[in-house]
Amino acid sequence: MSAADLSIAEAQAQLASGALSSVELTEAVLARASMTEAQLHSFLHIDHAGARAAAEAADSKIADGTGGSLAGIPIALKDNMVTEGIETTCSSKTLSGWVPPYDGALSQAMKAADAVMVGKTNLAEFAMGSSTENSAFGTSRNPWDTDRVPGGSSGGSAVAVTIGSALGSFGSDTGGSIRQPASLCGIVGMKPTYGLVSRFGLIAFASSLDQIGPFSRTVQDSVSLLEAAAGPDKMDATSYKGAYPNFGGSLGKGVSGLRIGVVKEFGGEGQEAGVTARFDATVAALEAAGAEVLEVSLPHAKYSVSTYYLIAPAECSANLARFDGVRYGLRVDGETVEDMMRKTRAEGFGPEVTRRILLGTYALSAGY
Amino acid sequence: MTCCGYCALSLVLVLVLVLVVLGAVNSVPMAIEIDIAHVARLSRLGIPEEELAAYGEQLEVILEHAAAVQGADTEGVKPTAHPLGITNAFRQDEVRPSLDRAAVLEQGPDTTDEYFRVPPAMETE
Repeated sequence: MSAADLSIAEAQAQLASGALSSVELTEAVLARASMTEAQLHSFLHIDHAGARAAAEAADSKIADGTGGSLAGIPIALKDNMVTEGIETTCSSKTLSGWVPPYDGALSQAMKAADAVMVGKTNLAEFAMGSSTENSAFGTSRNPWDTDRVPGGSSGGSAVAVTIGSALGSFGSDTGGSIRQPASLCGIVGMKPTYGLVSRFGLIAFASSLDQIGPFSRTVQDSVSLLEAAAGPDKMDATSYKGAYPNFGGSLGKGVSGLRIGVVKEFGGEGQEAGVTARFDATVAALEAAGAEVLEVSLPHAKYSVSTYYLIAPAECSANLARFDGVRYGLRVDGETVEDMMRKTRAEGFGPEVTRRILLGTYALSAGY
Repeated sequence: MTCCGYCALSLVLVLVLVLVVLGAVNSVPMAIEIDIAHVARLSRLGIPEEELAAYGEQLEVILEHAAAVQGADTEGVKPTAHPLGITNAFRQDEVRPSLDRAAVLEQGPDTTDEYFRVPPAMETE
């Protein structure tokens, strides 16, 4: 077994005992990536030199007993998270070649935790799409069956953790972009409560819905990643300012006595029989483990997709107005400034992003 | 001229009937027509003429689907801007360092001295 197959908790135990060094762990993860990337394409950019340097630094901190909460653990960040000195593209031609002059909040948090950032993962362009096929830089593939998609938009982050090219990763979830690829790859993914993780340096898609969250192979690892990422941030006005709970407080306590609601409006039409069978088996397993399962109703659930297709594109059309060829990224020359912007944006955005900008612009302008 | 009152009553009935019919028509998904060239102009997207119509048709299909929200009964439901009741965040209006100007300008597609350079804002003769 390679160290790349360890969970974060297992790796931490071995790092603490001295059985494993972060340099060894990082090399194992980089080797896994070089073995699998040609088929899976989970990364847009692998930072070999940066990862090795961070691993060495982490090893000396671990030896000193001054390492942060993720000291020496190789992680990956979705490429819509701003990383100082490392190209950040959102999988779009629009931002190709942009090297941010600052770190976003998550990148700062990972450095503070002494994690080892392996690289930036592929996504559906600007996080818009559920398969990671519409990345301007190639499709990611599902490690379980490379003829299938890994889901999206955080497909690359899900694939990297599934295959062992990172022990944990982060994605962003606006309308399922963490939860769905985690499900399609068979790993743990969660969308935390809005505001728990700062969005400073997360390139915005739909600001009222976007939230950063972790991918991992175990629930316990998900707790470790979330604890390192969550916290109030004055750079994000929507960041949660109250008390933060002990996210791992219920770990290992089982589900006995928990009340679990099963939403009766979910499932049904359009759901594959295999999915329904899995879902029912999970509910039965929870019940057998002592949970109380009851049916609940969300009567407005049927409007959720329609609502999403108004709110998300409307916010996206406003957020993506900043990509105008003036301050960063692609520029296509034009006669006037407006001509330059029109040409730049038409050239830079792929069809799905273009469609959503148009949809949002229409939704915001209809009636005026 | 006097009126027996039945006239008024029947007029009200007719009005009610008209409103009911209109209501029924309203609940049927209406075809949405979009001036896609106008929307593209507002979006600053120079989409080639031959691709515009296809985008327009796709948008109309999505919007007809999205129009389902109009069927939601919102009687007595309070308007919700965000489910978490987030309030505005204030900070002291203090001067603090910003990003290094040279580092930012370095990423610009066209810069001069301390500025980003763009083509003329108005068309020249």
